[in-house]
Amino acid sequence: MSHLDLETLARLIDEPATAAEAAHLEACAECRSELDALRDDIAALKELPDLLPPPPRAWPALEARLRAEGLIREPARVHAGGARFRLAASVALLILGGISGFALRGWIGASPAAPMATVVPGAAASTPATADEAERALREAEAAYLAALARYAEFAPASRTSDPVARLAALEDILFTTREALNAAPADPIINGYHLSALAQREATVRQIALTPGDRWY
Amino acid sequence: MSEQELIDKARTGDARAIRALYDRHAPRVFAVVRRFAGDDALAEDWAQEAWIQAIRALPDFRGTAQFTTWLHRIAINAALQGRRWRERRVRHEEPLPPALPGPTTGERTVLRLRLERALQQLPAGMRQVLILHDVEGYTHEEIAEALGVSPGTSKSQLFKARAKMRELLAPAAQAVNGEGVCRI
Repeated sequence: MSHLDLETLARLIDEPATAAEAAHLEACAECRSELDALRDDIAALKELPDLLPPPPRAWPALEARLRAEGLIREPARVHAGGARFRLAASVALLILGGISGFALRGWIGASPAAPMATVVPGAAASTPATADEAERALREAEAAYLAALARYAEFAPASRTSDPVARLAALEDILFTTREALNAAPADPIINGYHLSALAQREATVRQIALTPGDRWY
Repeated sequence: MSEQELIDKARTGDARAIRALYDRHAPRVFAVVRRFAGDDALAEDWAQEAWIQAIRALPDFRGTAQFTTWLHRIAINAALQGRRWRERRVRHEEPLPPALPGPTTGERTVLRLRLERALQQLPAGMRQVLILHDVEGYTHEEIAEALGVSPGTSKSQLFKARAKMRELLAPAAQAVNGEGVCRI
């Protein structure tokens, strides 16, 4: 018996099956499963986040153009926060980097003769012998690190997280920096660690901003 | 200040009001165009274009639709227009931007990233139709009008895009596709 091809299954998301297709689906568990998986994919597409902060440089560029076209009449406001955000980004990058480096050194820095103590339970019990093992160890270390970071954020004083927009701006700066770094060294695990940590924090901050009640989402 | 008050002031060119509207809605505009663009640099250009068009058109905004809906539509149009200009200029499919390396954590985040990456790997035509239909909720008639194709072409592209995306998301699905034999 031939399976229904993927395009046919894709059509059946929206349209009724013919008698033959319905009969096949009735008899074929694999095609039913594939159709369900397709439905799940489409449902997940609808739930993709619809908030994605543009990079901080986007507004100055837009503002300049709006002024050039005469669409803004007032003089530009000076945003004193820019330097502060950049400083915050630098500090956050250092902190993230330090913590990431600490979390990752369990397997990166360990020598075969003297393995490091395990930072992440189960992640660095032995020195990875293959690239796959090393990658798995990295994933586990990263997962544990991010979970710990999220937990830490829950306990952090409210004053540290009272301005999510400033935090978002700082994280955007970090991501800009790490993205540039990844262009130069795409496989570097440390830079990947920085980037992914900042990415996860940005997502969390965007969610926090989106969930903030009231008229002003920021 | 309410959104309506901001809009009224922004219509007159009030810099603060325009900035406030931007701060409120820039993440949504950027998310919409980013999905079509596939990379940040292009998305920045298209988002800027969307905002310019929106601020230009503000005097015509009558408030019959929500501002968010109106702006969303402008963002999609800017992305479609940007894509057309780009295709006209390039005349061939450019290589896709490389996906960011490395894993991430959290099942939802992983799934989102996989979906976003799969979207980026689709050919531009398929991607447009898939986003418009399955993400943005456009009908085939609306897509046909926006892209200058027939509704049948839109449907055909959608089904191909879904199938391709499924292949990208689950390589194992290829075993089921085609002339495989049921094990029942």
